[in-house]
Amino acid sequence: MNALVADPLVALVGNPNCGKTALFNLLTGSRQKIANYAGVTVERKEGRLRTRSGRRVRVLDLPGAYSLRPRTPDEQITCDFVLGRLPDEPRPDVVVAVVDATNLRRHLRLVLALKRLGQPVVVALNMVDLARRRGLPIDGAALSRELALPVVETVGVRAGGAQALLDYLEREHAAAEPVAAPGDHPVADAIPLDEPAAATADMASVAADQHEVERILGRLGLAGVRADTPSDRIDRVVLHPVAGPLILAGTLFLMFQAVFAWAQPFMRAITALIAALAGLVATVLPAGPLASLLVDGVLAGAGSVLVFLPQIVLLFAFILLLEDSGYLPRAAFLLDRLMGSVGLSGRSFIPLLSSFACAVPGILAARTIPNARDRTVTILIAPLMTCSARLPVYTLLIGTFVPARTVGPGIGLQGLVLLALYAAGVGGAFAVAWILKRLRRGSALHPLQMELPTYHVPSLRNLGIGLLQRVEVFVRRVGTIILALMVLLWFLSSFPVPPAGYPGAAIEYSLAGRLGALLAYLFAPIGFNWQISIALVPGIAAREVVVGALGTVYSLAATGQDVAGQVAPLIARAWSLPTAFALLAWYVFAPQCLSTLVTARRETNSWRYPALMAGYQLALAYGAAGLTYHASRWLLGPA
Amino acid sequence: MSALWERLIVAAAVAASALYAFKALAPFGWRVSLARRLTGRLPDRVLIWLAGQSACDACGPRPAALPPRPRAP
Repeated sequence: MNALVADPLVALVGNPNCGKTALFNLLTGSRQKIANYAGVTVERKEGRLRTRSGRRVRVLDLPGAYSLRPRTPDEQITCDFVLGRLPDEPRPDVVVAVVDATNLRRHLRLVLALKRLGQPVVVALNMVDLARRRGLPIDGAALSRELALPVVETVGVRAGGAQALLDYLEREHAAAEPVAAPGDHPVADAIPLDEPAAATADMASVAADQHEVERILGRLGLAGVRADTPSDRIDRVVLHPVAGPLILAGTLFLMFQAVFAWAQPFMRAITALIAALAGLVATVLPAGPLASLLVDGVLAGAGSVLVFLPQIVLLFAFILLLEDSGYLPRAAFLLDRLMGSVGLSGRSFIPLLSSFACAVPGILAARTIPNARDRTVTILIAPLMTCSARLPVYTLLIGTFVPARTVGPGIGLQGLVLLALYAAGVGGAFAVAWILKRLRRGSALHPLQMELPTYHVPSLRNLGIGLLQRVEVFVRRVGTIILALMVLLWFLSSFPVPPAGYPGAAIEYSLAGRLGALLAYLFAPIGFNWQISIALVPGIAAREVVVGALGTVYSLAATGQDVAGQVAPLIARAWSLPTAFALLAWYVFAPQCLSTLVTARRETNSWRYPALMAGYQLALAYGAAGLTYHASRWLLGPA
Repeated sequence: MSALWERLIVAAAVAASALYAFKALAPFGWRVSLARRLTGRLPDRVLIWLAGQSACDACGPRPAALPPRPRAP
């Protein structure tokens, strides 16, 4: 063990994606040992190299960090290691600050922070070949003078690309003794996490360092020079303060228009298939409980949810394409300021975007948010993002009650309403986040730093795999829990059988009918009839179940030749426009499904937050539906 | 198909749906409690499925009359 300690320890430190690991592999080859840091799941990579003189040097590849003010577990490890705060880990003899020569503006900030620690630091100016190919006037000697630190040029991906660094280590450090044992150094630059004062100091420090970086770049003649890659050229437009938000809004607009316009032929085909199956069952089986179960329960219930599969596929095709092309992180960047205004950061964007698929993965994705308060607020508002389970409800109501006409060139009214509903969900989420920010004073804004990947053409294979996974999840859900609930609802809606000569529809005499009559007292003030009230109950299990439930309830209540799966004409006759709008408003804020609540409980380790989540959403949904119903009645009349 | 068979099929479908919905939505404690009540009336495999995999983990509560708990890895 002593022999190990006697070998000089070199730590590679740098921003994510600076080529640090490539340099580490070049230095150490296959002489690497991978483990975890004690007590955490952060990977620890140590390797060895031999200098020309035969001296052994230990090399540690530390996790990428943007600063020494840690915000993630990875950054915490890097920070603690450099500061000598990790138990059983010696402080490094020399820190190699690896910087991307094509992006000095961002990477030099960390170098300045490392320099302040007073430890031996050498700057590895990595990717110099790429920087020069892009026409950047990189001068290692001049940078060394400005930083007052040794600078060596490296190319991590080329054999011999680390020779200058090896020579430096041989010359300056291979013979040196280890500088200190763990804990021997004062911790100068460390600040506790999640404290407002610390965060404010952090922002001031970032600004001061950025100013110094700009000064250095100015002296090197790099101030106004930027590498001109195709991604940079695209970003000049996509991230433009005016054009950027417009492009984002246009992209989202196109997405929602397409969801309605392009899915129609496929939806019609599925509806026809379900109707044909219902006709077949009615032909093969005699009228009785089994035929009713299959037609009114299985086909009318699960079938009316399955019909929305094409729209869900289209929505996810768009999201996956945007993700694979590299546009989504740009969207997060564009929305950072907007999110900051309600007390969130751009880091909340990905969890919230995931919540458009389902709130469960969105809540799980909130783990990547380092600030506890931001994480809690993100979890609380994630269910307000319009998950795919709401899409069947929206499209059923919009398709039935909003005329399919254009309101401008290529702009359909139905797509516009759908976009407005999504926007209402986002608006509601931001309003709740803003209120929570007001309630919890002292919460600070945390600056967003993220790597913008290079744009590339999306892979059709990735798109295909992603879509298949979504289709599988949706179909499995329809075939399992939705089907089970529909069968139960059919049972409750069919039994007990009314006596001969009962004047009303059979469902009114059933258990579900009686329950609906009771619930109707609660929901009548917001315009919901007893059929909607019944459908809302299984809708708590999963939102899209309400469509199937309406199919079952109305199918059983119908007396004519209505065919299973054709919910739209039935509700078009039975509901007023204010009622339909009220139900739409209800589902913008509807209390989330049980799985979301359970996930929130698991992630927050408390029932307090899920209870708060369910409570505020119920109040919002009831209030919004009531407001919409009465405003619509006032504007359109009660009919 | 006779009316009796038709009713039996419908009853089985409703019972299976109820069990599945309970398994999918009910909290763990409720599922274990129901599995205990149904012990001896339903096959052990169904009871283990109903209670969930965690019933077989070293730390989870366990229906009383189920087969011996698998050894924790």
